[in-house]
Amino acid sequence: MSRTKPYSRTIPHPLFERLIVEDAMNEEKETWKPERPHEYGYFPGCVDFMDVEVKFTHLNKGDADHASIAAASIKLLNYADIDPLILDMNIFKCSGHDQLWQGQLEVFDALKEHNMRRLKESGIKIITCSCAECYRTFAVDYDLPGTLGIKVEHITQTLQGRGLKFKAPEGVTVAYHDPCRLGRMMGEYEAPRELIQLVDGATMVELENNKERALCCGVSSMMYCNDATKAVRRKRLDQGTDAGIDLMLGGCPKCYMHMQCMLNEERMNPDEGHHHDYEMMDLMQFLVACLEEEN
Amino acid sequence: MTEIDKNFMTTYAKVATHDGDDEPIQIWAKDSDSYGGVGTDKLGIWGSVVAVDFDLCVADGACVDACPVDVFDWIDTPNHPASDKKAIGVREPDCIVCRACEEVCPVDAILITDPADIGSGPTDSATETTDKEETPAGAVIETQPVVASEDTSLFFKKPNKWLTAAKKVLAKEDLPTTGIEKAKTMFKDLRKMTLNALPRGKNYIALVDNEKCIGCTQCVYFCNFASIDMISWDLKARTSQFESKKALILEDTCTGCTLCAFACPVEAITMEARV
Repeated sequence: MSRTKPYSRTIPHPLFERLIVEDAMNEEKETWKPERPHEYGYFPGCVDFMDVEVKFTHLNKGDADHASIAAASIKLLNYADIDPLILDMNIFKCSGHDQLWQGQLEVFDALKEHNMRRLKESGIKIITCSCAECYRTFAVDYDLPGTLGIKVEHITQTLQGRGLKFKAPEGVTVAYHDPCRLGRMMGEYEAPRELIQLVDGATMVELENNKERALCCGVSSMMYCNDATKAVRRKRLDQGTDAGIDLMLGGCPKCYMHMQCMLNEERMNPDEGHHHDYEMMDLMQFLVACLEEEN
Repeated sequence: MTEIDKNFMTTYAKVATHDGDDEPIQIWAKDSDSYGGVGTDKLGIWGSVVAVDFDLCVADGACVDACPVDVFDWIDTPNHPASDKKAIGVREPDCIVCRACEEVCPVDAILITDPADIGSGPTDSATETTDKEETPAGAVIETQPVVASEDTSLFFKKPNKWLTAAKKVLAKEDLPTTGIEKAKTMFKDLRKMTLNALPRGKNYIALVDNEKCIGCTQCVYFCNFASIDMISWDLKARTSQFESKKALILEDTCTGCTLCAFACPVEAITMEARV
């Protein structure tokens, strides 16, 4: 178990991260071949592990559902006439983003080695991720374009410019929360905003800090959640209230997880007086909710 | 269907009872046709507080091992395709609602409902015998799941209509899964490992080592009984322990279920015998 190692003394790993580390250290030798060749591969990331964790931790009482981000992404890719190969967690492993940033380099190397081998076997040309952290890791830390010649895209970039149409079931004011990995690290600010503008009936407003000056969700790489990181998150949520939004949309399941966690915590302790009367959602979930009316 | 119906108390009918150690065990089925009795392949759900879907149960035995208060026993069910014995909650009134069995079941066949929630639900109390008229077979009853936390302030829930709308669209299509089975199995194996490694039950209580506790509040979230508080010890400096708040286990409500020890990332929680 990873938690007996010295570095775990300072980073309180959630259970699912401990399991990812355990998974990383199980070496798999057998080869794999997809049933048929695909141009696109879709990498869901560790959303299912997060889901089991929130089931155990009662955070699902506030209906957090990370797997629906992956399901929504697949649905939207199909809607855009893309037939992706699902690079699911039975065959692949976590991209290792958190382990790299937490300094667990040997774990990251093990994950990278496994995933690189699987990606070579998969024969895909383009990999698309709904998670901003996976996107950065594949593009920069794995350097897939340089090593395997695989183009790395965030799902918003894949869906951009494909003539998609959405219609919101009712009028809604939304704001886009820039994930640090997608925005400041990879410089992608426009693709998600363009997608939101495709939604008929949705008004997009900007939060006080946006784009390269966007505030963080506070818990980068699942490192540590404490009073200080919660303060950052609360400040971000307050900006949403100031902008009068109904929904805050993110481009990374981790942003969704942390903001949702904070909103739930506030609703569990209403007497503490912090309240934000809107919901956090992933952009993919929102777009799927706006698919119904159009078709 | 891959897991026990969460709304079985409203959508299923009471079809029979079976003798338990103290109180009879209620048997539920979709309608009288889907219950064939022991010896057939249609068994339905057994129990109300401790409900086991016998049609899913594979007699893995994880629940029998996990239960800290020894609620389960085996019952032979010949001719059932899933397994020829089932875990039955014969000592149902003993259940302390720690949900250890729910968490370890490899096929999600167990659903634990707090006895306090059953009375408030649309069905009558589980401890009453079936003197009430049975729900007509095939009747479509649209109700919310019986969750008592709905109206308590502890878990205030605000339904997110946008997420509901998204889920509705997604439910229309059979989209591929992305690894939930693997994640579930890994969690359950880890949970089983913790359960086997620690003493537990009514005679034990969790104890926090303040030297090790880093105040991360993970145990607070995991506890099923709201039995953990974060207490400020007015520490001057935020040292290697990061936070000045430490977890404190409330003696009265701790059931010795080991979930907090399972959740603790720094092994600060141990299980100790009550004095």
